[in-house]
Amino acid sequence: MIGYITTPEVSAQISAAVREAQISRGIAPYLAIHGFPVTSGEHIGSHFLPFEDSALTTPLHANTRLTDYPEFTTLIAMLGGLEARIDLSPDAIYNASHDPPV
Amino acid sequence: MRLGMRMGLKSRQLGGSRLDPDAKLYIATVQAALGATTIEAALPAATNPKKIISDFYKAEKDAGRYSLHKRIYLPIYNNLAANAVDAITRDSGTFPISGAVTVAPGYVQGNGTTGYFNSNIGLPAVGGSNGNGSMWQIIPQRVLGISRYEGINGPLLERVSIGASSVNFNQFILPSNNSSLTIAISETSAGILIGSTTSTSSRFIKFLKSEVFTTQANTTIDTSAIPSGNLFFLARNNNDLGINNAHTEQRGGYGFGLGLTEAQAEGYALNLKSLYESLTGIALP
Repeated sequence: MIGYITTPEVSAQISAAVREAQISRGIAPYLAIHGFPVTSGEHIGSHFLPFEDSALTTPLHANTRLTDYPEFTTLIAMLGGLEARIDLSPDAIYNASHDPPV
Repeated sequence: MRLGMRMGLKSRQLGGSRLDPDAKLYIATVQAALGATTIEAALPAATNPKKIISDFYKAEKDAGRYSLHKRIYLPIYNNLAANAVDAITRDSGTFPISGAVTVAPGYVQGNGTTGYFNSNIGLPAVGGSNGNGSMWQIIPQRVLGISRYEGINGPLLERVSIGASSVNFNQFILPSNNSSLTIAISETSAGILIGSTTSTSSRFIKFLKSEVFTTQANTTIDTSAIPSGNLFFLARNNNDLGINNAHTEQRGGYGFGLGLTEAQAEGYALNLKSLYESLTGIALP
Protein backbone atom coordinates (compact mmCIF):
# COMPACT_ATOMS: atom_id res chain seq x y z
CA MET A 1 0.00 0.00 0.00
CA ILE A 2 1.40 3.37 -1.04
CA GLY A 3 0.83 6.36 1.23
CA TYR A 4 2.01 8.55 4.07
CA ILE A 5 2.88 7.83 7.66
CA THR A 6 1.81 10.70 9.86
CA THR A 7 0.48 11.50 13.31
CA PRO A 8 -3.19 11.09 14.21
CA GLU A 9 -3.34 14.88 14.67
CA VAL A 10 -2.05 15.69 11.18
CA SER A 11 -4.30 12.97 9.79
CA ALA A 12 -7.32 14.67 11.39
CA GLN A 13 -6.24 18.10 10.09
CA ILE A 14 -5.91 16.83 6.55
CA SER A 15 -9.24 15.04 6.75
CA ALA A 16 -10.91 18.29 7.84
CA ALA A 17 -9.13 20.27 5.11
CA VAL A 18 -10.28 17.87 2.39
CA ARG A 19 -13.87 18.22 3.60
CA GLU A 20 -13.64 22.01 3.81
CA ALA A 21 -12.19 22.29 0.29
CA GLN A 22 -15.38 20.70 -1.05
CA ILE A 23 -17.87 22.54 1.18
CA SER A 24 -16.28 25.92 0.40
CA ARG A 25 -17.01 25.31 -3.28
CA GLY A 26 -20.63 24.35 -2.61
CA ILE A 27 -19.96 20.71 -3.40
CA ALA A 28 -21.48 17.99 -1.25
CA PRO A 29 -18.43 16.23 0.19
CA TYR A 30 -17.89 13.03 -1.79
CA LEU A 31 -14.16 12.67 -1.12
CA ALA A 32 -12.73 11.73 2.25
CA ILE A 33 -9.33 10.85 3.56
CA HIS A 34 -9.18 8.23 6.26
CA GLY A 35 -6.14 7.76 8.42
CA PHE A 36 -5.77 4.07 9.21
CA PRO A 37 -4.24 3.45 12.67
CA VAL A 38 -1.05 1.43 12.29
CA THR A 39 -1.36 -1.51 14.68
CA SER A 40 1.91 -3.38 14.09
CA GLY A 41 5.44 -2.89 12.79
CA GLU A 42 7.83 0.01 13.08
CA HIS A 43 5.17 2.70 12.59
CA ILE A 44 2.82 1.44 15.31
CA GLY A 45 0.81 4.29 16.83
CA SER A 46 1.00 6.40 13.68
CA HIS A 47 -1.66 6.86 11.04
CA PHE A 48 -1.36 5.64 7.49
CA LEU A 49 -2.88 7.85 4.79
CA PRO A 50 -3.19 5.79 1.60
CA PHE A 51 -2.34 7.71 -1.55
CA GLU A 52 -1.87 5.80 -4.78
CA ASP A 53 -0.61 7.35 -8.04
CA SER A 54 -4.06 6.63 -9.48
CA ALA A 55 -5.48 9.33 -7.19
CA LEU A 56 -3.90 11.92 -9.49
CA THR A 57 -5.80 10.75 -12.56
CA THR A 58 -9.20 9.76 -11.11
CA PRO A 59 -12.01 11.87 -12.69
CA LEU A 60 -13.55 14.10 -10.03
CA HIS A 61 -16.35 16.65 -9.79
CA ALA A 62 -16.99 18.44 -13.09
CA ASN A 63 -14.17 16.50 -14.74
CA THR A 64 -11.46 17.96 -12.53
CA ARG A 65 -8.43 16.16 -11.16
CA LEU A 66 -6.85 16.57 -7.72
CA THR A 67 -4.06 18.62 -9.23
CA ASP A 68 -6.61 21.24 -10.33
CA TYR A 69 -7.13 22.23 -6.69
CA PRO A 70 -4.59 24.56 -5.05
CA GLU A 71 -5.31 22.99 -1.65
CA PHE A 72 -3.97 19.69 -2.96
CA THR A 73 -0.49 21.14 -3.46
CA THR A 74 -0.55 22.56 0.07
CA LEU A 75 -1.67 19.29 1.64
CA ILE A 76 0.89 17.20 -0.20
CA ALA A 77 3.59 19.70 0.79
CA MET A 78 2.48 19.33 4.45
CA LEU A 79 3.14 15.61 4.10
CA GLY A 80 6.57 16.07 2.55
CA GLY A 81 5.69 15.78 -1.13
CA LEU A 82 4.78 12.78 -3.22
CA GLU A 83 8.26 11.34 -2.82
CA ALA A 84 7.72 11.06 0.97
CA ARG A 85 5.24 8.23 0.50
CA ILE A 86 6.18 4.74 1.63
CA ASP A 87 5.09 1.22 0.70
CA LEU A 88 3.42 -0.25 3.80
CA SER A 89 2.42 -3.88 4.24
CA PRO A 90 -1.38 -4.27 4.63
CA ASP A 91 -0.65 -6.33 7.76
CA ALA A 92 0.37 -3.10 9.52
CA ILE A 93 -3.22 -1.80 9.55
CA TYR A 94 -4.99 -5.15 9.69
CA ASN A 95 -6.49 -6.17 13.01
CA ALA A 96 -7.60 -9.78 12.97
CA SER A 97 -9.66 -9.39 16.13
CA HIS A 98 -11.88 -6.97 14.24
CA ASP A 99 -12.33 -9.17 11.22
CA PRO A 100 -15.31 -11.48 11.65
CA PRO A 101 -15.28 -14.56 9.44
CA VAL A 102 -18.63 -13.97 7.75
CA MET B 1 -46.52 22.98 -26.24
CA ARG B 2 -49.27 25.54 -25.51
CA LEU B 3 -50.38 25.55 -29.19
CA GLY B 4 -50.35 21.76 -29.19
CA MET B 5 -52.54 21.64 -26.07
CA ARG B 6 -55.06 24.07 -27.62
CA MET B 7 -55.20 21.75 -30.59
CA GLY B 8 -56.07 18.87 -28.29
CA LEU B 9 -52.68 17.20 -28.39
CA LYS B 10 -51.20 15.83 -25.20
CA SER B 11 -47.55 16.36 -24.47
CA ARG B 12 -46.84 12.65 -24.89
CA GLN B 13 -48.25 12.74 -28.41
CA LEU B 14 -45.80 15.52 -29.20
CA GLY B 15 -42.96 13.29 -28.13
CA GLY B 16 -42.29 15.21 -24.91
CA SER B 17 -42.96 12.47 -22.34
CA ARG B 18 -42.42 13.86 -18.89
CA LEU B 19 -39.68 12.63 -16.64
CA ASP B 20 -40.52 11.47 -13.15
CA PRO B 21 -39.86 14.47 -10.82
CA ASP B 22 -37.55 12.53 -8.50
CA ALA B 23 -35.67 11.14 -11.50
CA LYS B 24 -35.30 14.70 -12.77
CA LEU B 25 -33.72 15.81 -9.48
CA TYR B 26 -31.33 12.85 -9.50
CA ILE B 27 -30.35 13.46 -13.12
CA ALA B 28 -29.71 17.14 -12.37
CA THR B 29 -27.48 16.24 -9.41
CA VAL B 30 -25.51 13.72 -11.48
CA GLN B 31 -25.22 16.23 -14.32
CA ALA B 32 -23.83 18.87 -11.95
CA ALA B 33 -21.25 16.35 -10.75
CA LEU B 34 -20.28 15.47 -14.32
CA GLY B 35 -19.78 19.11 -15.33
CA ALA B 36 -19.33 19.63 -19.05
CA THR B 37 -19.77 15.92 -19.79
CA THR B 38 -23.44 15.28 -20.46
CA ILE B 39 -25.14 12.31 -18.88
CA GLU B 40 -25.67 11.02 -22.43
CA ALA B 41 -21.91 11.19 -23.05
CA ALA B 42 -21.18 9.52 -19.71
CA LEU B 43 -23.48 6.64 -20.65
CA PRO B 44 -22.73 6.15 -24.36
CA ALA B 45 -24.36 2.71 -24.54
CA ALA B 46 -27.72 4.06 -23.41
CA THR B 47 -30.45 5.22 -25.76
CA ASN B 48 -32.08 8.17 -23.96
CA PRO B 49 -30.61 7.58 -20.46
CA LYS B 50 -32.87 10.17 -18.86
CA LYS B 51 -35.96 8.25 -19.94
CA ILE B 52 -34.42 4.96 -18.78
CA ILE B 53 -33.76 6.45 -15.34
CA SER B 54 -37.23 7.98 -15.21
CA ASP B 55 -38.85 4.68 -16.16
CA PHE B 56 -36.99 3.01 -13.29
CA TYR B 57 -38.40 5.51 -10.78
CA LYS B 58 -41.90 5.21 -12.24
CA ALA B 59 -41.79 1.42 -12.04
CA GLU B 60 -40.75 1.52 -8.37
CA LYS B 61 -43.52 3.99 -7.56
CA ASP B 62 -46.16 2.08 -9.54
CA ALA B 63 -45.21 -1.11 -7.68
CA GLY B 64 -45.46 0.63 -4.29
CA ARG B 65 -41.79 -0.03 -3.49
CA TYR B 66 -40.30 3.45 -3.79
CA SER B 67 -40.79 4.48 -0.14
CA LEU B 68 -38.96 1.34 1.00
CA HIS B 69 -35.74 2.33 -0.78
CA LYS B 70 -33.50 4.53 1.37
CA ARG B 71 -30.25 4.61 -0.59
CA ILE B 72 -29.64 3.67 -4.23
CA TYR B 73 -26.15 4.21 -5.66
CA LEU B 74 -25.31 3.69 -9.32
CA PRO B 75 -21.51 3.98 -9.62
CA ILE B 76 -21.54 3.68 -13.40
CA TYR B 77 -20.57 7.16 -14.62
CA ASN B 78 -16.77 6.86 -14.73
CA ASN B 79 -16.65 9.84 -12.37
CA LEU B 80 -16.16 9.64 -8.61
CA ALA B 81 -18.51 12.55 -7.75
CA ALA B 82 -21.40 11.33 -9.92
CA ASN B 83 -20.91 7.79 -8.64
CA ALA B 84 -21.35 8.99 -5.05
CA VAL B 85 -24.84 10.46 -5.58
CA ASP B 86 -27.74 8.69 -3.87
CA ALA B 87 -30.73 8.38 -6.22
CA ILE B 88 -33.23 8.80 -3.37
CA THR B 89 -31.98 11.77 -1.31
CA ARG B 90 -29.42 13.15 -3.81
CA ASP B 91 -26.95 13.27 -0.88
CA SER B 92 -23.41 12.12 -1.51
CA GLY B 93 -21.67 9.20 0.10
CA THR B 94 -17.88 9.36 0.25
CA PHE B 95 -15.09 7.63 -1.58
CA PRO B 96 -11.47 7.77 -0.37
CA ILE B 97 -9.39 10.46 -2.02
CA SER B 98 -6.49 8.02 -2.18
CA GLY B 99 -7.11 6.39 -5.53
CA ALA B 100 -8.08 3.17 -3.74
CA VAL B 101 -11.29 2.94 -5.78
CA THR B 102 -11.08 2.64 -9.55
CA VAL B 103 -13.86 4.21 -11.60
CA ALA B 104 -14.74 2.79 -14.99
CA PRO B 105 -17.72 2.92 -17.35
CA GLY B 106 -20.35 0.75 -15.68
CA TYR B 107 -18.70 -0.06 -12.36
CA VAL B 108 -16.38 0.76 -9.48
CA GLN B 109 -13.77 -1.52 -7.98
CA GLY B 110 -11.85 -1.34 -4.71
CA ASN B 111 -8.17 -2.20 -4.32
CA GLY B 112 -8.71 -4.92 -1.71
CA THR B 113 -6.95 -3.11 1.13
CA THR B 114 -8.04 0.51 1.66
CA GLY B 115 -10.84 0.97 -0.90
CA TYR B 116 -14.40 1.53 0.29
CA PHE B 117 -17.54 3.60 -0.18
CA ASN B 118 -19.16 5.14 2.89
CA SER B 119 -22.90 5.82 2.63
CA ASN B 120 -22.52 8.12 5.66
CA ILE B 121 -25.64 6.70 7.28
CA GLY B 122 -26.72 3.57 9.11
CA LEU B 123 -29.84 1.46 8.79
CA PRO B 124 -31.51 2.65 12.05
CA ALA B 125 -31.22 6.28 10.91
CA VAL B 126 -33.38 5.56 7.87
CA GLY B 127 -36.03 3.69 9.86
CA GLY B 128 -34.61 0.17 9.67
CA SER B 129 -34.58 -2.20 12.59
CA ASN B 130 -33.68 -5.78 13.42
CA GLY B 131 -36.82 -6.98 11.66
CA ASN B 132 -36.98 -4.43 8.88
CA GLY B 133 -34.20 -3.96 6.39
CA SER B 134 -32.73 -4.85 3.03
CA MET B 135 -29.43 -4.63 1.15
CA TRP B 136 -28.49 -5.37 -2.45
CA GLN B 137 -25.60 -5.41 -4.92
CA ILE B 138 -25.24 -5.39 -8.69
CA ILE B 139 -22.22 -7.60 -9.45
CA PRO B 140 -21.03 -7.24 -13.08
CA GLN B 141 -17.97 -9.42 -12.59
CA ARG B 142 -16.80 -11.72 -9.81
CA VAL B 143 -13.45 -11.97 -8.07
CA LEU B 144 -13.37 -15.34 -6.34
CA GLY B 145 -11.32 -16.66 -3.45
CA ILE B 146 -11.63 -13.63 -1.13
CA SER B 147 -14.29 -12.47 1.34
CA ARG B 148 -16.47 -9.72 -0.13
CA TYR B 149 -18.75 -8.57 2.67
CA GLU B 150 -20.28 -5.09 2.77
CA GLY B 151 -22.34 -3.22 5.36
CA ILE B 152 -21.27 -3.08 9.00
CA ASN B 153 -20.29 -5.26 11.92
CA GLY B 154 -20.63 -4.07 15.50
CA PRO B 155 -18.50 -4.84 18.57
CA LEU B 156 -20.14 -8.22 19.21
CA LEU B 157 -20.05 -9.11 15.49
CA GLU B 158 -23.70 -8.20 15.15
CA ARG B 159 -24.06 -7.34 11.51
CA VAL B 160 -26.01 -5.69 8.75
CA SER B 161 -24.14 -7.36 5.96
CA ILE B 162 -24.36 -8.80 2.49
CA GLY B 163 -21.69 -10.35 0.33
CA ALA B 164 -19.82 -13.54 -0.32
CA SER B 165 -17.34 -15.67 1.55
CA SER B 166 -13.98 -16.77 0.22
CA VAL B 167 -15.59 -20.11 -0.68
CA ASN B 168 -18.40 -18.35 -2.58
CA PHE B 169 -21.30 -18.58 -0.18
CA ASN B 170 -23.36 -15.45 -0.88
CA GLN B 171 -24.75 -14.37 2.46
CA PHE B 172 -27.08 -11.86 4.08
CA ILE B 173 -27.14 -11.21 7.81
CA LEU B 174 -29.40 -8.79 9.67
CA PRO B 175 -28.83 -8.34 12.54
CA SER B 176 -27.47 -11.58 13.85
CA ASN B 177 -24.18 -12.18 15.60
CA ASN B 178 -25.01 -15.86 15.41
CA SER B 179 -23.38 -17.44 12.38
CA SER B 180 -25.76 -20.40 12.58
CA LEU B 181 -28.51 -18.02 11.42
CA THR B 182 -26.60 -17.13 8.27
CA ILE B 183 -28.49 -17.75 5.05
CA ALA B 184 -26.36 -18.58 2.08
CA ILE B 185 -26.52 -19.32 -1.64
CA SER B 186 -23.56 -21.01 -3.30
CA GLU B 187 -22.97 -18.96 -6.44
CA THR B 188 -19.96 -17.76 -8.42
CA SER B 189 -21.71 -16.01 -11.28
CA ALA B 190 -22.19 -12.31 -11.88
CA GLY B 191 -25.74 -11.12 -11.19
CA ILE B 192 -27.80 -9.32 -8.57
CA LEU B 193 -27.80 -10.28 -4.89
CA ILE B 194 -30.53 -9.00 -2.57
CA GLY B 195 -31.32 -9.80 1.04
CA SER B 196 -34.21 -8.65 3.19
CA THR B 197 -35.94 -9.11 6.49
CA THR B 198 -39.51 -8.11 7.30
CA SER B 199 -39.66 -9.45 10.85
CA THR B 200 -37.28 -10.81 13.47
CA SER B 201 -38.25 -14.30 12.34
CA SER B 202 -38.22 -13.93 8.58
CA ARG B 203 -35.21 -13.21 6.40
CA PHE B 204 -34.18 -14.31 2.95
CA ILE B 205 -31.50 -13.91 0.32
CA LYS B 206 -32.04 -14.09 -3.43
CA PHE B 207 -29.67 -14.26 -6.37
CA LEU B 208 -30.87 -13.25 -9.84
CA LYS B 209 -29.23 -14.93 -12.82
CA SER B 210 -30.67 -15.69 -16.25
CA GLU B 211 -34.06 -14.26 -15.19
CA VAL B 212 -34.26 -16.94 -12.47
CA PHE B 213 -34.09 -16.37 -8.72
CA THR B 214 -32.34 -18.73 -6.32
CA THR B 215 -33.67 -18.20 -2.78
CA GLN B 216 -32.69 -19.20 0.73
CA ALA B 217 -34.74 -18.22 3.79
CA ASN B 218 -34.58 -18.51 7.54
CA THR B 219 -37.42 -18.17 10.07
CA THR B 220 -35.49 -18.43 13.35
CA ILE B 221 -36.30 -15.62 15.78
CA ASP B 222 -33.34 -13.30 16.26
CA THR B 223 -33.65 -10.08 18.27
CA SER B 224 -29.94 -9.20 18.47
CA ALA B 225 -29.04 -5.54 18.59
CA ILE B 226 -28.57 -3.79 15.27
CA PRO B 227 -25.37 -1.80 14.67
CA SER B 228 -26.08 1.87 14.07
CA GLY B 229 -22.91 2.86 12.22
CA ASN B 230 -22.64 3.78 8.58
CA LEU B 231 -23.10 1.09 5.96
CA PHE B 232 -20.08 0.67 3.67
CA PHE B 233 -19.70 -0.92 0.25
CA LEU B 234 -16.58 -2.35 -1.46
CA ALA B 235 -15.60 -3.24 2.13
CA ARG B 236 -17.39 -3.48 5.48
CA ASN B 237 -17.45 -0.88 8.24
CA ASN B 238 -15.54 -2.55 11.06
CA ASN B 239 -17.37 -1.30 14.15
CA ASP B 240 -16.47 2.31 13.20
CA LEU B 241 -12.77 1.44 13.76
CA GLY B 242 -11.83 0.97 10.13
CA ILE B 243 -12.77 -1.48 7.40
CA ASN B 244 -12.61 -5.21 6.87
CA ASN B 245 -13.26 -7.57 3.98
CA ALA B 246 -12.07 -4.98 1.46
CA HIS B 247 -12.28 -6.65 -1.92
CA THR B 248 -11.66 -6.10 -5.63
CA GLU B 249 -14.98 -7.32 -7.01
CA GLN B 250 -16.78 -4.98 -9.40
CA ARG B 251 -19.94 -3.22 -8.30
CA GLY B 252 -22.43 -1.67 -10.71
CA GLY B 253 -24.83 -0.64 -7.97
CA TYR B 254 -25.59 -1.06 -4.29
CA GLY B 255 -27.97 0.21 -1.69
CA PHE B 256 -30.24 -0.51 1.20
CA GLY B 257 -33.65 0.23 2.59
CA LEU B 258 -36.52 -1.12 4.61
CA GLY B 259 -37.73 -4.68 4.45
CA LEU B 260 -39.00 -6.01 1.14
CA THR B 261 -41.25 -9.03 0.79
CA GLU B 262 -40.01 -11.79 -1.47
CA ALA B 263 -42.26 -10.58 -4.30
CA GLN B 264 -41.08 -6.98 -3.82
CA ALA B 265 -37.43 -8.06 -3.80
CA GLU B 266 -37.86 -9.99 -7.04
CA GLY B 267 -39.67 -7.11 -8.75
CA TYR B 268 -37.02 -4.67 -7.59
CA ALA B 269 -34.11 -6.87 -8.69
CA LEU B 270 -35.61 -7.25 -12.16
CA ASN B 271 -36.09 -3.48 -12.40
CA LEU B 272 -32.48 -2.92 -11.29
CA LYS B 273 -31.25 -5.39 -13.91
CA SER B 274 -33.17 -3.61 -16.66
CA LEU B 275 -31.89 -0.21 -15.48
CA TYR B 276 -28.27 -1.33 -15.26
CA GLU B 277 -28.17 -3.14 -18.58
CA SER B 278 -29.97 -0.34 -20.44
CA LEU B 279 -27.70 2.37 -19.03
CA THR B 280 -24.37 0.61 -19.36
CA GLY B 281 -24.79 -1.85 -22.21
CA ILE B 282 -23.26 -4.46 -19.89
CA ALA B 283 -25.31 -7.65 -19.90
CA LEU B 284 -25.76 -9.41 -16.58
CA PRO B 285 -26.27 -13.15 -16.79
